[in-house]
Amino acid sequence: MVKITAKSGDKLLIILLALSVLMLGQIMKENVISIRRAAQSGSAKPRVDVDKVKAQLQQAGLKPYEAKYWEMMGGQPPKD
Amino acid sequence: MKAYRFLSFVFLAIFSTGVLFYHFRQSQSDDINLESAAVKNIFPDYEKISPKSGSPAHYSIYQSNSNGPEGLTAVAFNTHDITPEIKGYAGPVKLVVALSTAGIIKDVRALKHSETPAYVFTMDEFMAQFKGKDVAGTFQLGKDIDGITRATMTSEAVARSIDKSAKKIGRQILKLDIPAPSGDPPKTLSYIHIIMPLLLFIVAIGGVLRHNTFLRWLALLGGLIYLGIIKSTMVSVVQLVNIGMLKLPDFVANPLWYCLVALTLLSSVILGMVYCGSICPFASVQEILFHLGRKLKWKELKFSQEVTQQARYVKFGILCIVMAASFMLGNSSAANIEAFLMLFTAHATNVGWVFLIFILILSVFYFRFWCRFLCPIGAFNGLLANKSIYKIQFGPECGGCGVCDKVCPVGAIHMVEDKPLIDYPECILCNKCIEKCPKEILFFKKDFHIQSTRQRAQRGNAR
Repeated sequence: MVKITAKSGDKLLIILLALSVLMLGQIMKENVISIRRAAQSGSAKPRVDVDKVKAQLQQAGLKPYEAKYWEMMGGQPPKD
Repeated sequence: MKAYRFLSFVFLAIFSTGVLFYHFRQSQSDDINLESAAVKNIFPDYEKISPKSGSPAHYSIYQSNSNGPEGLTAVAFNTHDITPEIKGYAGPVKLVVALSTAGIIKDVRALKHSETPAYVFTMDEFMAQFKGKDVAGTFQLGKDIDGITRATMTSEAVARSIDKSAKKIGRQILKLDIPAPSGDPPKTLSYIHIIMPLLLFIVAIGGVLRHNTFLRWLALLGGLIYLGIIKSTMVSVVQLVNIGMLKLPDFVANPLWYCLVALTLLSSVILGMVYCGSICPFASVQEILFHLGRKLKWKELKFSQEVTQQARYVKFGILCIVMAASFMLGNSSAANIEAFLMLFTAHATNVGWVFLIFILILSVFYFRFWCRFLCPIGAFNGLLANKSIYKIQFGPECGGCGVCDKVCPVGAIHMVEDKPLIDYPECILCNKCIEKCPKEILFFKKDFHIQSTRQRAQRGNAR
């Protein structure tokens, strides 16, 4: 049976270090995802081809806000 | 000491394996695959895209199935093929540029770069400014194009490489009437970027050798103001990985990078952790916060020596993991985890901000929490310092009073059989032990014959 002898202060250090390492791990994971996404898509962020969307809207005879593209981009509806 | 020798071996093994893996794995076909994927991404509706050919090398994009010039609607090219001499902060920035037959830039995509992510968060927004611009025009930073804040070198490199390569493609492939460029502006070496780091190191080394606290604080504040606030440049594990990948900036364009790296390595090999102890801007922020906590009489966190001695190996683990990940991915951006980059570039993800605030709060209650347990570049400097030529050593008259052990703020000294032992990879050369030693028997001494401190202590015992 393992006997834990660490004092309360030492337990705190272990908790603080574990939290730090977890956060560092998450930051590194985000970095790795960003690198892999950039390699796959040719750019660091997902992009919206605005010209293409505009052309499609025009073709469909819609006004920009009717397409609700702002929903796709996580934004708010445009004010009139 | 055996542990540090083992860690040095592990570090060397990971670094050398990583370097070999990176350089052998990199092939021309990787770039071609990335390029063609980016071109297809820009022109998803165009079925006919020619293979890369011609001089300068480019892809031709046809609207119809016709291969003739009448069907040609655009060309795309890799800027690095045309302007390989233009480098960013950490080596070449490879971009794919799509150009219409009328000479209008249709899109710009980043293919590969090793710029520190914290500095180029807004790279996509920056590159979007080129869209719709005529190649015959100018791409002057600050006038035609807004640069990326705190990433002037990267912004300049991107603007210059797009300008130069697009004009060349426009003239030679699209036969557009574009005036010949007047040539690159003459490069001038900025001496201030050599003098300032030199001055900082001279003051810091002066503080270490003369045991002068004022000089140490002068260097720390100088480092905070110049390196941290003005230049946002620090020695980081990203630079270490870039050195392994041979992604180096142009010396004339960025002498500060070379001076800082060279002086840090040199001082670590000769004296020990001069940079970490007396120059690092994040260290000075942590020390200021810690002293503020003491002024406000807030309770200091205390941990036992046994646990802190084990906990400090965490930073060596972090160093090895970020290095291995960066070499495996072929991109030093994976190593961009350091809290100081987040603080001084003011760019971080949500987790990054939480982490930075967490570390800064801990610094108020514990002396240099980040440096002692987490800093990967500090771990690397420590391994160098362990083999430094000059070291703080004890004279044979040491009575083992243990004052040095008590005053050491980073716990680098501990008593073994009534003899003090210094863990050099942890020592920040603050000189507190030398100042407080009642017998004044602590001094810098040449240590060409590297021995473990335990051996030295045993030799002292024998005397």
